[in-house]
Amino acid sequence: MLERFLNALIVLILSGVLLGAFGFQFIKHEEPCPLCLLQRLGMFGVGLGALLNLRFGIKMPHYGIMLLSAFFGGFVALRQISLHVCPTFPLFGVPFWGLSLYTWSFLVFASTVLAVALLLFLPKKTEGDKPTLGIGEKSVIILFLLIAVANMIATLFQCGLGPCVD
Amino acid sequence: MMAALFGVFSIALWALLAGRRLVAIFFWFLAVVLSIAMFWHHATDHLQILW
Repeated sequence: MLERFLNALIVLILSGVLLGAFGFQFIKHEEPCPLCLLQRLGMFGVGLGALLNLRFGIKMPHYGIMLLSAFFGGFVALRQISLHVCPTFPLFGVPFWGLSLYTWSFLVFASTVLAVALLLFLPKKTEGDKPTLGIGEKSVIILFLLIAVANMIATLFQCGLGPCVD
Repeated sequence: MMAALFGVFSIALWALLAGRRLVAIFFWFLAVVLSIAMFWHHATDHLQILW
């Protein structure tokens, strides 16, 4: 029960981060770069793993999905940090609380790895039991799905069907 | 192309909601492979600037 709650909490935190990125995009008119969009995709991957735990019960492959997605997103974030690490190469976008958004993104993925590692310490019930979804859990899944669809539409308007330009 | 990646994730989440675990995992895998391809495309673009 605690583990299911913590997985739902991870998805809610990720939803907050993704909605915050939307806020930067539409309120501050800061168009996301291709690497920023790839980091968002990494966050969707992490969220999908946590939602699989909610929907089908706690299973190790679901945590594997979270870790692989966090690894991918963290790698992309680290690459973007390294692109802007030289003093002659300015920061991309408006900083938030003193750090650029891709640095925050790296911290999110690093925290995900830490959280999954801690979750793996919790005692597991026998596998195979498919839990019934409550209204709260269903709402979390639908919220995350809506954010994914909104990202798809926004990216379609920004980049069209081709690759996004820097 | 990038929009299609979000579309693939939306399908994965839809499959999850519909109770299709393997379909959801398949579309997650597809999204990861396509994301790596997009990342590679972007990375090689930057490398061309260096040549």
